Amino acid sequence: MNLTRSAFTAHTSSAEAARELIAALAGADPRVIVFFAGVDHDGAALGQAFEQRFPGACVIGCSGNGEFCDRGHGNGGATVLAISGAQVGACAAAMIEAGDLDASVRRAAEQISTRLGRPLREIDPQRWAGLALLEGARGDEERINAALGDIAPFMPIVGGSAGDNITYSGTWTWADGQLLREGTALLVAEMLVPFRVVKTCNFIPTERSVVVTRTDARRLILELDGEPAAPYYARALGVTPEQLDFPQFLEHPLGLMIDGDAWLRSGIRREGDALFFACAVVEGTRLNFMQSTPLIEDTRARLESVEKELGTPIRGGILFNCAYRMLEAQIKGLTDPYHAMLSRFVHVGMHSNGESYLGHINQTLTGLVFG
Amino acid sequence: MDASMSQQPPTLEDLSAAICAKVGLGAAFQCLNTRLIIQLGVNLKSIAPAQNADPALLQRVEDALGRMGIRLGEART
Repeated sequence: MNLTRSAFTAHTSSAEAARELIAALAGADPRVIVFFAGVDHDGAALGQAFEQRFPGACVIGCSGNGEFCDRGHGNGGATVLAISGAQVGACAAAMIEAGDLDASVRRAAEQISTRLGRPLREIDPQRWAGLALLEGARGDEERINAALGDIAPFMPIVGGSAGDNITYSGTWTWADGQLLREGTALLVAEMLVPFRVVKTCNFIPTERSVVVTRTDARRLILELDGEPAAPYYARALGVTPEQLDFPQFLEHPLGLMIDGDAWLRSGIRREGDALFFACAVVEGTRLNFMQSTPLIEDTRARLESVEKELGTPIRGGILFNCAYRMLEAQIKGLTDPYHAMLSRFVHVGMHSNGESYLGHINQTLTGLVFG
Repeated sequence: MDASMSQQPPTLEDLSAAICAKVGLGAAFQCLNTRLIIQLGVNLKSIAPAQNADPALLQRVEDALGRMGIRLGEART
């Protein structure tokens, strides 16, 4: 019997949404509750409702650019996953506030360590996992990921940047009984069942690569191979700099290749002769031009591969699907079949403003799946 | 700073070998290396010649490892 339960509602009223989701979880005795909702939802109302109904659970959630689970998908509603005590043992959550991020991450880690009775740096990465719902509008994900790596460099911490309908105007996150509009929610859990991090993108590297030779600000690339970035990138794509727009950036991310695995950096817009990316890139980094592959087939193959590694069917997942992938699916008319493919297992997810695993990433499906 | 950090290894290759000696070449090394590539542009499995003996970069890598609690003094050859 699968003890992981999910529920979905299209209600935009937070009170109605909470009632419907909780009713759908009747009989569940969760250890962890993960929820995602439209940015216009009252995240505190949802979080409080789950905490009141499931007082023994760690409740964590955030806003997205769309929410989905195996029971439905949409934008502006809400969805929830309930993970049982048979799958998760000890767990604790805390909120990372904006401002001095290094100090806030350390403070949250200390809170969690105290509750778990062990330092995060010393816990077994084969048995413990972290889930981070990052503030998604301020562009701090690189710093947050680095700080999380400092406190627990070997623990798999996966997550996504909270969404706001891709307006970058403000997101919300919920953890430890509080909602923050500029915060990051962090959960650390002892997994009692096999689990894996899944990270996939539907792009493969071409033979053409480029070196990032000058950057300014955190995510602005000024030069590629010593030339102004926008004209260089446009020329490589066969368009003029003025023609650089969303379709080119969607179709032509650059990839940082690490041991054959792509860590995508996606363009957002041209700023004069520079390019603003959704992820910072260190000067001197070599990036490959990438070539797209079929979205659904790639994702299915990766999930099947992860399932083989697990040695058991996937019985639950928490997924962060980049908003660019959501838009690609919409443009290509693949939204329903994409979610149908994901729905081979119980899961919850949101369309994110970026994903996190060892660092900030773009244009991936990243998440935690377990058997 | 840890007293054992005061003796600088001369190159990133030496540092990489010291990390391997401490954590092995498996998943732990991969985690550290991926973080260093993303944060500093240094791939300890494929060190660029221009980076190898750059003392400032070496210090930044050691600082990053130190923040992650990786002290290498006792593992250095």
